[in-house]
Amino acid sequence: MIISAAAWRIAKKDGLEVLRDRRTLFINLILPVLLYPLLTLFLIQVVQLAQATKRDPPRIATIGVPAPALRFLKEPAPDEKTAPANKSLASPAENLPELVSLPPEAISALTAIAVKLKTPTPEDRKAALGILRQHRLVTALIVLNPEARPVEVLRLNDDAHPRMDEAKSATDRALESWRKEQVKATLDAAQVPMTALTPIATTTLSLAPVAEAVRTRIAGIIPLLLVILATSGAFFPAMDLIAGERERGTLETLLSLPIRRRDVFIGKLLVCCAAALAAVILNLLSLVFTVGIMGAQLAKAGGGLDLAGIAGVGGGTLLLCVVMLLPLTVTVAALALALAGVANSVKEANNTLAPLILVVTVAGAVAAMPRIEPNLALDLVPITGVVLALKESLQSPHLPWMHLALAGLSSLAVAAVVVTWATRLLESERFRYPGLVRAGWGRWRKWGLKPPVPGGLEVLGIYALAVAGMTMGSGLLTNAPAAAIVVIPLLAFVALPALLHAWAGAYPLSAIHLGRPTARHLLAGLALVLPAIALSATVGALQATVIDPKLLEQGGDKVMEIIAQVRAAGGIGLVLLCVAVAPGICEEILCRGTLLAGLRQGLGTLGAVLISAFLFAVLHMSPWRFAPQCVLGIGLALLCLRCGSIWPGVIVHAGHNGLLVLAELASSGQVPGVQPLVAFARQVPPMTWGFVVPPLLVALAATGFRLSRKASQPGS
Amino acid sequence: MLTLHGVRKTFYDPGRGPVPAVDGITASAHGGVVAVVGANGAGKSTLLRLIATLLVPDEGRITVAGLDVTKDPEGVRRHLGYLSTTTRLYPRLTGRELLRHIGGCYGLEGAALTEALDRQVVNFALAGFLDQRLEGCSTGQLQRINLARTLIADPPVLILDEPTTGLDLVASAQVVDAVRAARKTERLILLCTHHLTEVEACADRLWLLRDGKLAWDGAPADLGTGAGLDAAVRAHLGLNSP
Ligand SMILES: Nc1ncnc2c1ncn2[C@@H]1O[C@H](COP(=O)(O)OP(=O)(O)OP(=O)(O)O)[C@@H](O)[C@H]1O
Ligand SMILES: [Mg+2]
Repeated sequence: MIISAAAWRIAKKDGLEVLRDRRTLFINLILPVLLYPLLTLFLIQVVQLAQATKRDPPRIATIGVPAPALRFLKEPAPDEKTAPANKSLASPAENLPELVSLPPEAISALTAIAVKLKTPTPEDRKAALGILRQHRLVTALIVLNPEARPVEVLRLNDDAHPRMDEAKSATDRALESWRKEQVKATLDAAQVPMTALTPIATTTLSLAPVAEAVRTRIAGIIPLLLVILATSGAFFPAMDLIAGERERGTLETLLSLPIRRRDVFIGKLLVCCAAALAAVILNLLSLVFTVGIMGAQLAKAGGGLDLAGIAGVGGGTLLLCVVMLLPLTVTVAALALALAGVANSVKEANNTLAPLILVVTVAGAVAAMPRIEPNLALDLVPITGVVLALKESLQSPHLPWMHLALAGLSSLAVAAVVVTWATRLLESERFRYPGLVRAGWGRWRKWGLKPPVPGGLEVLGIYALAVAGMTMGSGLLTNAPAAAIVVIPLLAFVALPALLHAWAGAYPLSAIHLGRPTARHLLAGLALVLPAIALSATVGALQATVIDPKLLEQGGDKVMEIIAQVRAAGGIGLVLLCVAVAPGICEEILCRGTLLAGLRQGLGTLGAVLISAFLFAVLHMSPWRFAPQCVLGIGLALLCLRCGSIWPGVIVHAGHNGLLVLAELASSGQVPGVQPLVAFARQVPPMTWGFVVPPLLVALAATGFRLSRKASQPGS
Repeated sequence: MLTLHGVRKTFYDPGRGPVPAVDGITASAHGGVVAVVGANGAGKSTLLRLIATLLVPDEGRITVAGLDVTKDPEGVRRHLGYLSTTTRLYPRLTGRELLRHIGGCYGLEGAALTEALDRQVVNFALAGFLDQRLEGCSTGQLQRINLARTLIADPPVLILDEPTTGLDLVASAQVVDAVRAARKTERLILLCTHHLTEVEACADRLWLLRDGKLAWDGAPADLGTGAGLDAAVRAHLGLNSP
């Protein structure tokens, strides 16, 4: 995007103002720098405080436990005394439980319950728990018969007790030591050495430097923190720059100046992004610095931990973080400006922005969770993809180039869409004077001209509904007949929301391209079926030369399996209905009807064609079919705009799907009557096909284009 | 300079329903000071905002210096200086920074900008507080800077919506003097006011607005002077107390 001189002028003035705002300075410059040093200091303090306070040992009662076992409860076995206490902060001596002697009636009550060990009633459990809690016990150890072999030890636990873990490890340890002692005695009696029990000894050597291991652990958190910082960094300027202007009464002054409104917006966006980036970069530097100093301190203290290496992720990785976060920052800044812009005051802007920071945090946190790894689908999810790719880059010794590129491209695309949409906002009167038109929406509008076409945000909402329904709804249908599994989600989540939206919004059917087509246009659709197949097949073949199909193929067999089931239930006709006609109609209604019409409002024709095609491809949730569907989507969108109706596209779409499935079935000999045709085709030399098919396709495509030429130019 | 043709703008208010704030105004003006007078809610500010491209007319056509407000809003704004009770100034900037910024927005640069700035500093006697942050300036000082910024690029059309509201007698007189000083044959000044003395002091022409309609258009002297003008205006606006 070209940033005009006017936009820079606005940015300069706004930047100056923001720099004079103490709150923004604090959030964007001082907080990111101080975050890690303060966090470290706080952690150290908390740990020191926790160590300084003496905790009461967990209370344990013993009934009938023999003396050797009691001894181990009171003091750890000799070989454990010397072991370093690296597992917990407290030393083993402090972990020793307090042994409590119970009054006789409690002992007899617990013993009575212990006798019924095999069949305790819920009342017994309750009674035992009551006794434990009455004497503030965590655990009671009961041995009914010390002479029996094996000795049966009953442990009654109050699992809800906060010191349960300590009590458990203390009793575990004591019982284990006791067991070892008994085993040793038995072995000694039989004159067998103790090593007979441990024929295999394992020694583990950690090769990676501690620093790297620590880095892997914290790698998930750093990108999340950066995303949150980028978001909050953009927030305060965003609030100050539009809602603040409105509140201080300067917005009207600004809008009366001879500057294009989009330049005003871009100028403000530049300031927001600069502020957010400053926060991110300062934060990264602070991280490196803090860890470096900590490492140096630890090395000096001789703790043996070389933490200095954590900082050694290299300037390249840090730069990568900044570059990857750039589109995301722009997106969030534009969204924040737009959302803050509809608010009347800074206070109101705070409320409209709170959900955004929540969404960003959740999307980032999902990616930061351990065990979640990037994949081709997750890469496309706006915030999650970037955080995942960055996490992977920080963790693994090799950069995940493909994920970085996909996530980067996806977030760039999102940024482009959001910025295009947001820059147009200031052009709307409603955005300049919020509360100007409060006459209601759609069917329920009380006064004034109804917008003839749905807005971009509205239709994106409908699309989100469709995606959510397709992903979650199909899970509900696992036991339904195969045909229902295919058709019901399409009807319920793709077509129905779009139609309901058009009804509720009182949009005329022609506004979402559902008007009656002319016969010429339907013929055009027919003529374009084969060229469409050729197009998507070509894209698929091209894709296969670049990327290994195995990498992208997911669930392709499952589709064929469902098709086989449908065919078993209702023959080829039902198959065509399920995979050709139903998707053709439903997906066209959503993607070329509602989506294309609405996006055109916010993004213009080019943007609407591209984005609707992208979203159409995403709807199929198949990485392998993504590129072909995307190209097909562009073609269908152009055809729809040209004919002013989705129905020619429905024919192309259904024909494309239907013929491909028929071909698939025919190649495995499952379609009756085509065998002679296939046999004939095999006899004709390939060269002949090469001469016949391309001209035929070109002719068909040309016919289609000619037929689709619209007699009357489209209205609005 | 300015033409209005069948201009309409209706707001919707959940309590009152549709409010026709400007209800079919047709008029034109070429130079001098046009005073716009009407009762509260008559639609004066709405009309001026429509001309300043801040609002978009529902119906009708407005041209400023030959440019249509809906087709070329930037071009229109380049010919406009707009000041109203709701155009305030950036409190965290100094007067000089503000004037330079706004001059820059009108395309003034380098020596031309400095020269324009100096001219306004002299015209409005800004030198005493020019380098002070605006949050520290008094209402009168702010209004002088506000007038200076509307005039900095010497625009051919000036829109002043109640420029004397909240000012004391001396400051109001200064504003009226400034309007008179800015008056040129090739410049149109639209002055919305509630004070007929100001109208008499500087207006060449008077538009009386009543319920969004143009109730009277002509020279104020044709309606009378002093108490006579007051009575005539009241009669036209339906403000006579029973
Ligand atoms: N943004 C808005 N939303 C809804 N109604 C509005 C809006 N702005 C103005 N109106 C209504 O339009 C009508 C005309 O308002 P306008 O501000 O133009 O009057 P005015 O002549 O300037 O009055 P005043 O002398 O009080 O400034 C009023 O009834 C007002 O309530
Ligand atoms: Mg007004």
